[in-house]
Amino acid sequence: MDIENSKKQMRKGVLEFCILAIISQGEIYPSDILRKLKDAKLIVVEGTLYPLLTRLKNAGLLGYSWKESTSGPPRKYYNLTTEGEAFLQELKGTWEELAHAVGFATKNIQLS
Amino acid sequence: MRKVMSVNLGGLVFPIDDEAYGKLDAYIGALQRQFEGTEGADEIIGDIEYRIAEIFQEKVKGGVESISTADVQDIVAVMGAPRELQEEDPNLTGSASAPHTPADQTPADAAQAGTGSDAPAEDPDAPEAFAGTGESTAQSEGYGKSGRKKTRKAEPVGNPGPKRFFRNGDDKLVGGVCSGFAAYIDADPLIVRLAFLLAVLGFGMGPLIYIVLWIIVPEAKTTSEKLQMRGEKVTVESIEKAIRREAKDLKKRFKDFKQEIKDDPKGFEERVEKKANDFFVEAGSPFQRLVHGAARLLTVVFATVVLIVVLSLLFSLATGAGAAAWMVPQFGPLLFPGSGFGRMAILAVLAVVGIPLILAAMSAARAMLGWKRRSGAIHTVFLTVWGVALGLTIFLGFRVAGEFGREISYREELPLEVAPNRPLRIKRLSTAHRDYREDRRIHIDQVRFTDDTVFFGNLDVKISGASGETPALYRIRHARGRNRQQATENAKAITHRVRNTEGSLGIDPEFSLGEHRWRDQDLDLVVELPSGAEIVIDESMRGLLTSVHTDGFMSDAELYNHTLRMTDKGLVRSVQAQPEAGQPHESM
Repeated sequence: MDIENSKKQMRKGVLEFCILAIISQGEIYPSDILRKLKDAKLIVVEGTLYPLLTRLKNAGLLGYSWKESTSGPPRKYYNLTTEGEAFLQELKGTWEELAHAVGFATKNIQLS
Repeated sequence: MRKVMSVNLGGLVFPIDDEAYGKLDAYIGALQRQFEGTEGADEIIGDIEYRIAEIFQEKVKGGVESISTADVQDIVAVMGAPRELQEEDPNLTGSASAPHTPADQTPADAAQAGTGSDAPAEDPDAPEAFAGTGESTAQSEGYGKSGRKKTRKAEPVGNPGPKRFFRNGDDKLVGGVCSGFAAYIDADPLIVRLAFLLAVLGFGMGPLIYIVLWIIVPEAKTTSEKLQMRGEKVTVESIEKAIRREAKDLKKRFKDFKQEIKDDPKGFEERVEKKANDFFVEAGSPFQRLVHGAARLLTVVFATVVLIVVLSLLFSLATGAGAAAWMVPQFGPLLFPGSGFGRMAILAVLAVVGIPLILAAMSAARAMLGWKRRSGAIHTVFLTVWGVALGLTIFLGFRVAGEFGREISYREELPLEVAPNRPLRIKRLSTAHRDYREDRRIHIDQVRFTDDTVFFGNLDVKISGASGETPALYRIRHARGRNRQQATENAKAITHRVRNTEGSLGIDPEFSLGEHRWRDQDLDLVVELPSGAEIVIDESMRGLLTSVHTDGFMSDAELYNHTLRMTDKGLVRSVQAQPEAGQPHESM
């Protein structure tokens, strides 16, 4: 059993939720999303973000607009659609349940 | 020493080392294949390119002169190996692509087994899977060993996988469709182009097919695509597979385009606006290429038609010229007022007609084969020669035409002896002793050549009634000339043979002009018969007689080889059964 793989799968499971959560705080472009995710050690290689964003966008959860940048190529600023907002709320509910359950489960492990 | 080139990423231009460019190109190519079939694949690639551009921009700002191989390796390490990026897809998508996965996997694995490239997979987690492969030959082995889309393409560069139909952007006249198809079937592009043009001329569907192919067939852009374009031979199975893949690819591209407009009309508009300038104004923009391409297509079609026409004309001209050149010794003195003029005239006419044809053929060939025009010198020479030839042709033309200005005819009476109590027998003199030269290339009606003389057969024999006592024979000469005197001379030049022995008149069916020029000479022979005179027209006169004064009731069969008597109403069958030489059956 590969411990790295398990860790990665665990991070991946919450990645979608985290990205939606980051975008819900206001318009943001991928490089800034990456910075936050990297700080949180949620992402290892940057490339994984882009297919995810495209998929969320194609699912109607995200919208975006192009903005010129003074220091580089034009940037794609993502925002949450109403649908995305609802989706995020639902995920948040699930996450809280999960966190509670995980907390409960791990408490038992620590006890043993 | 390094070679530095520039690369356009996300609208920005970066100087990049040759080798680094190869790696970057390979990496993006690998990403494209990785996401092939994924919804929004091009958008993902585009986003990643923007990110790479951003990172490069930082490096350039930091004082890097050109992007190096190490920089690209950093990029790959940061972005991740292609197959790493796809892995989460089946886990998270749920409905859309997950059911496809097992189905896709099976044939892909089978293909991999078939191509024999099932080298042991590298550590599936190592981000260096791509970046760590320093040698370029190792690159394509490096990525995608485990990616579900990758397996069929994970082969060494030398064997780039199943052949695909790409447009060949490196060798194109219009859109590179023919050239790409030629690469696909391993043929010479020129042959494919010619076949296509024949199809255009034959069925007329060609241009439409071409435009459709132009739109749906992708251009080979990356190195690996170019290798694939020229890849291995195509088998029946691989064609079927390729067609299915192309169809999928096409559907995806249409869908992506629609999606892009639907998803983000505003952003799309902005980008269109931003790029509109490049699109319409800049040379090499798609719009310009479309117009340019259509123009070239028309040019090529036109050029081919011109080339075919011109080549056949040149061919017939050359054959005709050969025959004409052979005829010069005879025609020259016949037509031109000086021995040198004949050859000159033929060369001049050849040049006047031939030079434009040669020039047209040259430019048509250039347009078709894509030759560059090398120098104008040859054109200058051709044009000068053409001008001189035209002048000469006009001069000679007027000169000769002038000698046809005046027409004259004059009549002379020839002695005619008739045997008493015997009908006059009129016959054609034999020309069997004349050794005619036969030339099938040039045939002029009623003109025949021997080695030293030209014979004209356009003479007419007429038989008419007369008021006189005895039969008479007249010869009427016709000719043209610059003036009356010259025309008369020309008429006198007619040499014609009539043999009159007692009871028989032999007429040569041809006349000659000796060394004299031909100025529309013509000859009539008129036999005038008084009432009561009897004649026999020999069968051999068929074709020479143009006018016979008969009573109007005589059939053709009665005309020849019968004794005829001239009456007031014309010739009639003679009622007297006179013994005739050569007609023993009628004598009794």
